[in-house]
Amino acid sequence: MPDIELQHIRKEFEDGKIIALNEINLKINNNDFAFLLGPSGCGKTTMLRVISGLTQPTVGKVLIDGVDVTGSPPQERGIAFIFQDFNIFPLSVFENCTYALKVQGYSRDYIIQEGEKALTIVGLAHRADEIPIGWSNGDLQRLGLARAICSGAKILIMDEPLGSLDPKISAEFRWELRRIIKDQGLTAIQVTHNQEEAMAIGDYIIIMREGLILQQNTSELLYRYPNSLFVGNFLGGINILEGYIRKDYQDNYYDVKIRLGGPTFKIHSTDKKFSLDENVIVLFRHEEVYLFPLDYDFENSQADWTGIVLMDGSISEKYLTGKAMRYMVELGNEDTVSVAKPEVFQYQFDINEGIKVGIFNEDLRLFKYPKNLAKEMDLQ
Amino acid sequence: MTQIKIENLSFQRRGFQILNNINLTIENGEYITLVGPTGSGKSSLIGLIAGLYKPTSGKIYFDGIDVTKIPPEERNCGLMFESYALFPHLNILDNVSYARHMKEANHQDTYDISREVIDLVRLTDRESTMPHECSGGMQQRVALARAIMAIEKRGILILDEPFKALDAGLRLNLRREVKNIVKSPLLNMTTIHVTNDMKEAMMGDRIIVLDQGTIRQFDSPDQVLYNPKDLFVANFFSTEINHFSGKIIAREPTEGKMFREKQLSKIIISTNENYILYAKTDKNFQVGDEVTFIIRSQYFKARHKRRESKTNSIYGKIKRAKFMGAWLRIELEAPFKPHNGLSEKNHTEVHTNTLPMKTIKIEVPTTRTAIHNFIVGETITVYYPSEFVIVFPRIPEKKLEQILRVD
Amino acid sequence: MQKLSNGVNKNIKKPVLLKMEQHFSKRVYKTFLDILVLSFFILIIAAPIINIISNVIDNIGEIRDRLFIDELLGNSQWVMMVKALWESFFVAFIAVIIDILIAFPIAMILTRGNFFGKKILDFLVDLPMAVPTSALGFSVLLFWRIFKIYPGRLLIIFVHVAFTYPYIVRNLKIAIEKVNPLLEKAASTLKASKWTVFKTISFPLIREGLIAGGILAFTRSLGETGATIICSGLVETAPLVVVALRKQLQLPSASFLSLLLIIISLILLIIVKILARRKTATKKFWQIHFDWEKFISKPVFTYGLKIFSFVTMILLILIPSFFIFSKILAEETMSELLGADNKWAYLWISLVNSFRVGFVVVFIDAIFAIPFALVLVRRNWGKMNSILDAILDIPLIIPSAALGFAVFMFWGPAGINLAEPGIGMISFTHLTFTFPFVVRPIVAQLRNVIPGHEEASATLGASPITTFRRITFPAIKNGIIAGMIAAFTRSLSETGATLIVMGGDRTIPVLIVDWVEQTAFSSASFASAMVIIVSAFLLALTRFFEPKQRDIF
Repeated sequence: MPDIELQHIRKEFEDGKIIALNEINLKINNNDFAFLLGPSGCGKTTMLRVISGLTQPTVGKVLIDGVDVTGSPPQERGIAFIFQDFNIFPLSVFENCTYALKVQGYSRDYIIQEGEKALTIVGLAHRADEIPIGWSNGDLQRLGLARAICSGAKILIMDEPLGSLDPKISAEFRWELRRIIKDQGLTAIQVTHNQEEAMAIGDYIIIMREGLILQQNTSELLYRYPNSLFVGNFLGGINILEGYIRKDYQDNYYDVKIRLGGPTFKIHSTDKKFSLDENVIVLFRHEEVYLFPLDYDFENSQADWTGIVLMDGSISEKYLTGKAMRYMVELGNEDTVSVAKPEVFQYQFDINEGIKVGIFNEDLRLFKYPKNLAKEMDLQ
Repeated sequence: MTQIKIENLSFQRRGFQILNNINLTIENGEYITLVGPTGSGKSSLIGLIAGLYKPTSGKIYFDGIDVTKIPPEERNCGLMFESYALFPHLNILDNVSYARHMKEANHQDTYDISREVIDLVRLTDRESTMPHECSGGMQQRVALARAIMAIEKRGILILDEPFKALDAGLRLNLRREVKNIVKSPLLNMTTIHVTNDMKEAMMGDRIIVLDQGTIRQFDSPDQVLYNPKDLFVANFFSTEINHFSGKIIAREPTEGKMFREKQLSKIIISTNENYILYAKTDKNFQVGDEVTFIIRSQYFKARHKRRESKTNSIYGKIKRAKFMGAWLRIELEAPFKPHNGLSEKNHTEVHTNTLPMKTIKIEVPTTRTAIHNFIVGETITVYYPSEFVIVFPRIPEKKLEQILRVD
Repeated sequence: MQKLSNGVNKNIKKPVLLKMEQHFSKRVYKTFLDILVLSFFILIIAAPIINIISNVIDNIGEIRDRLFIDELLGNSQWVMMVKALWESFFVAFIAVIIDILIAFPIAMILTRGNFFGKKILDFLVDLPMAVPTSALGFSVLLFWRIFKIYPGRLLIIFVHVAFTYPYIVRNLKIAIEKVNPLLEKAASTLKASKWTVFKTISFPLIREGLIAGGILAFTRSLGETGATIICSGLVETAPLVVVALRKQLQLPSASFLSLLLIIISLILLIIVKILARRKTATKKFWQIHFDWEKFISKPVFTYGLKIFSFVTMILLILIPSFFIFSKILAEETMSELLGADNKWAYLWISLVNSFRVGFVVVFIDAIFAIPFALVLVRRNWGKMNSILDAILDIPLIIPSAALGFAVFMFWGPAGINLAEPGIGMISFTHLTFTFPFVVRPIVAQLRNVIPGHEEASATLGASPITTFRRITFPAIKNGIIAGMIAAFTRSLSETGATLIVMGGDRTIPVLIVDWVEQTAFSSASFASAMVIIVSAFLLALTRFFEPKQRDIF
């Protein structure tokens, strides 16, 4: 029995003028740490509010632990919510933390016991009597977390909890967050627009766009096998080449000829079917492009280059990103690809230098040519 | 393009010292990125350059002319605000051409020139739309065009966190586009681009690293990355770093290829954890010196199994391995090496008992061979090219923690 | 049904209070409260107005006869009404224009500026609002008498300029605040001189708010009675005619004029609400006269304008309003007060009356205002919310004499006869006027920080009533107090309606009117001074409780 289930959920605003959620079906199981990821306005926050009961869906059912809670208010759902702007009460740290237990009438001793426990978990036990004025965002969020844990709820719903933290701080704190959630055995769903955060600490990621769930999977599978250009582009830098189907091998393999005299790749595609001469897009990542100096000896090399397709190219741009060296490489057919190489890569190339470019067929993904390429690539 | 010179600039507000004795010179046509954590004083610095604030002391020169007392409407400087601040009651064309209207009485001429800039930012058929009808990306481009139009020939363009409000994908695309636009021969402006994102900072011809009101370093991306002046800069321009402290036990000059045009010496360090590690540096350290050095996570290579023979390597058990897209992030627990005297055999036993551990963070590219080959619990060896080590004179533990902690 | 982290030791001892709160959070009670609150609202605001309408319709024949074809007077009564309406409009219009011109710079610096003494200036600007209008009228009368300006149209204009001033400043501040100051900074980086920024950016964006604020102040001036009576001499404005007709017991005519005034005010109110929704869009870009605009942007002019604004405020507004204090040290005062007809006793009785009415009214207001504010802000009834919001403002817009008359007709002998003219009816009218004053600050505070906190409380398991007790109420506490004090001050100052319904009882403001009419100037001065001191103190108190701008949590 999934902990959280959404069935045919639809949420409209302003008499149907705005469709925030459009036919959402979702299952989140016990102890899952799920991430909701997507561009601004895709409906992720609305989704959280529907699950928690802060907003009622226009159509559809919400089930928590198998029970239909669609009409119930938040206080009857057994969930805890962490807000992006914290919503810490003007009370002491301890009173904030133990609020849930207080309003449900637990005994004083129990409240003290649980309060101390929760504050210790987040490292705020020594500040229990303080009033959280002028606190750093990180500490405020810790308090929010303690408050949620102390409530005893087993389901944690979080709306961009790390959103207001500086990049470096949030990179640290996210691990603490995951550790606490796993230690406490909670089921959690978190919204973020930071894909690095989702990939780092989530068990799996749900990608949303314009009120729909596009794809749901582990970060690795999403990264390797995106089901659309949008998902692919959203999770990291991509290169695309335009071409057409030259040959259909009839067992899910296709020969794709790249336009303007480009090379031919043999690409495997299970989830989509293509027809001869159909226009397609080939997708691969920045780090999936291999660069070789012109005099590279392929035969006697230690690495295994079987299956690689080689092309001629030249370096048109080169710059450091702070994490890697980025090369813009112009291919023979006038297409340009973006390549990321580690700074410690054994070869360093110069601008205008001629090189050999290699891509493995296995690394390529095939997509139908979309009606609006710019929109799919989110270039507007 | 204009040369900007700032002399002894200090700025106080409501009792707080926000900028402290800033000195810098930006040359004609440079694309400068200004980077620093929140609260470092970036907004104040650009506010002072634009003329929105008056400095407490110090002077600002544009092309040799003292502009310190000149109000913003008379400085040859355009500012693109972080929140865009588009005029809600004017359409795109009027927003963009606003500044020009102040100089040119003929509306038609003004509109013609504005249309060129509107073309440049790819908003050609949208000139009659109102700001509230535009997407975030569009608004950003209007704000950019508007700021550009405020600058006469040889002027200064300031971009205040121009991409902050946009999604990651759009941000990457617009970064290159904007730089190409402002560097084009038509415009060729001196640009200051403010950001708190390390990767965006690397876009600049030179980078100003600001922290708590002082300039830590003002250098090319190359220098800032590989020759940081202090640990703060080094840490800011890293995703993850590993730091070690130790003593230099040997030093040898190296022959052969120069690294980044520098002749390096090889130093051998015995760290606090009793590792023997090499570094190559052009700094003048001597045997016996106490040092602190860092190695960025992306400089490591990893091999399975332990390899004892190589001194310049560290082995440990994988504590955490996380797929992060283009990189695989691995955290190792590496044991402190026992002193000379203990035998090899005891290493293994000791490993599982009570010796303190050091956490090493590395990132390896997720090439097709790497992905599933690193499993939690496995012991691996990691090593790095010694030219990529950054060495500083010894930093005391407390200060180290303070700089790296950041909360 | 919260799941527990361990089953041991929990000891849920759900106290009676929590159980009760959970019970009363049920939907049926919510609906009950809604009905109660709406009934109260309808009773004190809508019912009297509807009653007047029906009254006029009932008596339409008699009204027509009396006004237009009277045996003795022909249509002179109608002519007199039209003339009075014209006077009211004229005075209000002039007063508002003058006020806008002299208040604008001050409103600008109060909104945008940050300087030493800003709070003091803010307080000074508001002061005339604290003064009961009859006392203010009297003070102004004494001041301008020195310059040989006697009761008449000019004096009326001066006094209207004085008491409308704080309203104009407040409304201007609201309009200016709506404009993002960053836009003005952006304009100056885009090479616009200060005057050009104002012309092309600030003013177009403020314009709508300015007009709305002007109209609101206009209605305030239109409806003013207390000060106008004292300063009018032979001139009659419309509210004064209503009072006179009432005194002469010409009730149908009074009904008719009241209704007319009410309709005019409602139309103006609707215009204001419509203006609030419009989005500005300009067609053609302005012609910039670069050199000239740069010239008048020079500091000497911008500072000069601010100083001019400040000086006129002191000379035209503040000094006349408080001039009364220079008069009360005369020896005659005490002898007059303790003289034959025992004015001293009347003074104290009236004071007691004012306070009694004030306290009772304010507390009843608070009890109903809190749930009403919650309904206004939290319930999602679509268009109904904005209608309620608009109706709430009616008592602020309608001339107090007209509304007072409507209340008199509804509750009194001519209507449902639940009250006689006197303290009781005075209280009913004051309820009507003061209700919006209590609701508004609560609404403002509710809109501020609270929704997130209430949601957090709900997700932590609290029933709606528990959330109200623990979160909402403590947060709006200050707003409630501020509203109550503002309402009390308003009640203390109320003249127009009270004149209509007072019967034999007196409150302080109408006592002042009485004494001025009896030329007992010293006593009137003394009473005025007393009330001004109390009101000023209350005003300072409100500022203390006013909801703060930014909430840390």
